[in-house]
Amino acid sequence: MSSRDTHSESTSLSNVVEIHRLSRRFGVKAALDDISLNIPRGGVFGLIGGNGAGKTTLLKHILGMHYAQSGSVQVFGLDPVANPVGVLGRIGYMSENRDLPNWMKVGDLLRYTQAFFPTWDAAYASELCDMFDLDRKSRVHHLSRGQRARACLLVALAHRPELLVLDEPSSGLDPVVRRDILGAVIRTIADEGRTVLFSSHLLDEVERVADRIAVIHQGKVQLTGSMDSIKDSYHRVTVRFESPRDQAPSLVGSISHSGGGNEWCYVCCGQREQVHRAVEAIGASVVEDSNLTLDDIFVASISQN
Amino acid sequence: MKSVTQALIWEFLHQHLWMVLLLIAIANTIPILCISALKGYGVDLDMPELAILPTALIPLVVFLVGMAIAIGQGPAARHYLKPLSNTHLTSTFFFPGLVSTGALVGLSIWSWNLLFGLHWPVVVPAIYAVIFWAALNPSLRVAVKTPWRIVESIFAILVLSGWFFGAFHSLDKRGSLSWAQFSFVDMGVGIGVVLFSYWLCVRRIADDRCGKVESRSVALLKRWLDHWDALRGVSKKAFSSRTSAQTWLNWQTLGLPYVGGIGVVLAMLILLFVGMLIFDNRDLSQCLNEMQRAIGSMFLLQIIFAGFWGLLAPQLRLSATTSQQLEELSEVNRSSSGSIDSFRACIPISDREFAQSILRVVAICVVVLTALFGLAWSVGWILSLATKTPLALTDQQVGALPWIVLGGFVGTWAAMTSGIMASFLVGQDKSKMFAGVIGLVTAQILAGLFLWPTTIVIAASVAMLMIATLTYSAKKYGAKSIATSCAGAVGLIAIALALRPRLEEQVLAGLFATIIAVLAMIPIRGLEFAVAKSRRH
Repeated sequence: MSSRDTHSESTSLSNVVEIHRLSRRFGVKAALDDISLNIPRGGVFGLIGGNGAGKTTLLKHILGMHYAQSGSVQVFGLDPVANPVGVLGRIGYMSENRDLPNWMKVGDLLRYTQAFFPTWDAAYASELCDMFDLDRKSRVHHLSRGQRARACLLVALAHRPELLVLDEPSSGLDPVVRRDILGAVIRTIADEGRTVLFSSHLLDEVERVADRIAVIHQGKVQLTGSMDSIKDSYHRVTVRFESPRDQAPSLVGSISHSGGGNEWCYVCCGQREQVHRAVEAIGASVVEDSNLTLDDIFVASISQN
Repeated sequence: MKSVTQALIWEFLHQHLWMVLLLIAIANTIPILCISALKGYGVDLDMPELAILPTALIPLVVFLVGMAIAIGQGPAARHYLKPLSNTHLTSTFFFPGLVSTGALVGLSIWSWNLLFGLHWPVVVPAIYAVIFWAALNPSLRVAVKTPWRIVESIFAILVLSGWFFGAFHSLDKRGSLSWAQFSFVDMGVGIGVVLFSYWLCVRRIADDRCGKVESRSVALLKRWLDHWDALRGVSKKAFSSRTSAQTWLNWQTLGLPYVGGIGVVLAMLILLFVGMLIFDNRDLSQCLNEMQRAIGSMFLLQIIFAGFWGLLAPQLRLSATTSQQLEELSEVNRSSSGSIDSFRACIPISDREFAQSILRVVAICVVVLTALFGLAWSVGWILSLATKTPLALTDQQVGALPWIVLGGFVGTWAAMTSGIMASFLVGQDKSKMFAGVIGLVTAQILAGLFLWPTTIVIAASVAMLMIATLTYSAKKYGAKSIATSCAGAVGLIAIALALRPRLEEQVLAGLFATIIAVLAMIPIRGLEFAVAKSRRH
């Protein structure tokens, strides 16, 4: 085995998805612009971005539905376009659409899906079916929106996938179904070495379950890292000047500001100590220093761009 | 805009004008090709023996033009939330469609007359187009699409066709001039059909608008089918492979409705003849012969259904978004398509396995059709034996039977596989595929009449359309296929030979057989490329 092969195998062991300098254009528009991203094995990876940021395009590349125009995508060390059976057989996927064949019964759906996954766990499927309160004799057409989402989740989970991909899984669902989905995420990562890739607009959910996140904006990765380190590096600092100021003085590491007179509020990126030193350097004192929510961090990282 | 109708016409022209013009062009191209080829052979198109030509071509134009307008106008349901009464809503799509279908069909025939110096009647076919359009509206355009509506549409088409053939082209009154006759009774029937269709549209819109989608009898039938399915479900076993699971899905989605549709039509045909026998006091021998002949014609015409099968093929695609749509979406949105079709898109199946599953379904369809037609023919033979009434088939007819059977099956295979492959290749732009399939259908009809030159021109055009798209696809995805190149060469030779006037009939027959064989073989390898193209962008 060559050294290159060894390197490739070792990285694919540590990373489930490896994206290297991926770009994608649709006509004149760049949907993805030179994206490099690794999704490590184990844990929950949150993908965040506004509408049209390129999240779905990125997921489509991971699922092998798009060719990489430039750059490369590897999932489990394999090219998902060249090897759809090898890659998709190890992925469980649930989308916002929940497009299932309406004419099928839930039992037929399970029987059909089972054929594609050698690792299908029939006992686990039955357990999930009972847990989600799905009647095997019901036609998909007659399922409510929430039940349909549960049916999608069932077929995504029953083969115990190594990578569970959830694209906007909670959108339009009530809190009970959302709780089921979050439960599924937790159950999946409870199995060692399994990974969840979670794309959502509901940032409080991502914040609750994700270990690592990536923020995508206009086809570029704006921010990526572990949730803790990202939350540690963004602060909302309220500072007080001795005399009133008409304009906020510029602060090293600040992204945005608001306020007036003596008291100004800065959203900053950087180590806490560095920010405090910068505040002292402009002749102010720190009144309050708090962490930002993921929602605030998302808005800040977009405005930083 | 001063009125709703005006606004809808503006929307229609603004959004779908090119598509409608394209379909109208296709609808005219096929007859023009046929007429040109026959003119090249010096055939007099006003001969009574060629009455079948306008009888076949004019309904084709009616259907294509009507389809173009129907696609352009879209489903009536999209207007449900607009502040319109049910009658007003119906009028906004019913009458403009009615008038334009009649006008466009009349205009098409008038232009053929002008181009080729024909004397084909203009007004009666236009009136027929209007009636046909009106009759299909309640079933095809209004409310939710269910298999019951499809059965109903087939029934409407059969009844109208029966009336049409009875009035204008009865078996013992051959001659294209019969198109010019339109009695007061016919006029009354026509007006009755239009008014009844309008009333039915209003009723259905009223029902559908408030969520009532099916009658009690249909609900009862569905419950019974569910019950039967539940009993059958006890013995359901796991699938042995991915391909067999996908074959099952494809069969349930498209195979079963296709053979079911043919079965319904055959059953109706037999009922029609039995009815004629009982109520019309017809001669048994003549009736049996006509029935056997009608089933034989159905055998060829079933390829029309194969065309519909191709139209439904987008339901099978693993990715519902096509490259063309992606380009269009990129104009308004940075994202590629907004969402992913979770179920189909992420099935872990290779392109080859998926293509094989489709080919298997087509093969099953052909086998089931063999059984269906065999059964239908058997009814005639059994009746003949039971009543000791010999069938008056000539030696030529008996001799032609194996060839009809072979041609029908190869043609069905070719039409189904080519239709679905074209659908995968051209994506949502169904018009190209539709043109191909209709061309093939016409070729088959004309093949029955031994109008070889016309048949070959059409068949070769279809072959070339398929080959060109496939070669482009294979090249784009870096796939080299010797078979594709060979098929291309055969298609080119066929076209070149077909355009040469006055070839021996045997040579033409050989050419036709070659082209159909090529069309039947291309998808065996080509479908895999087509799947790859539709699946990834």
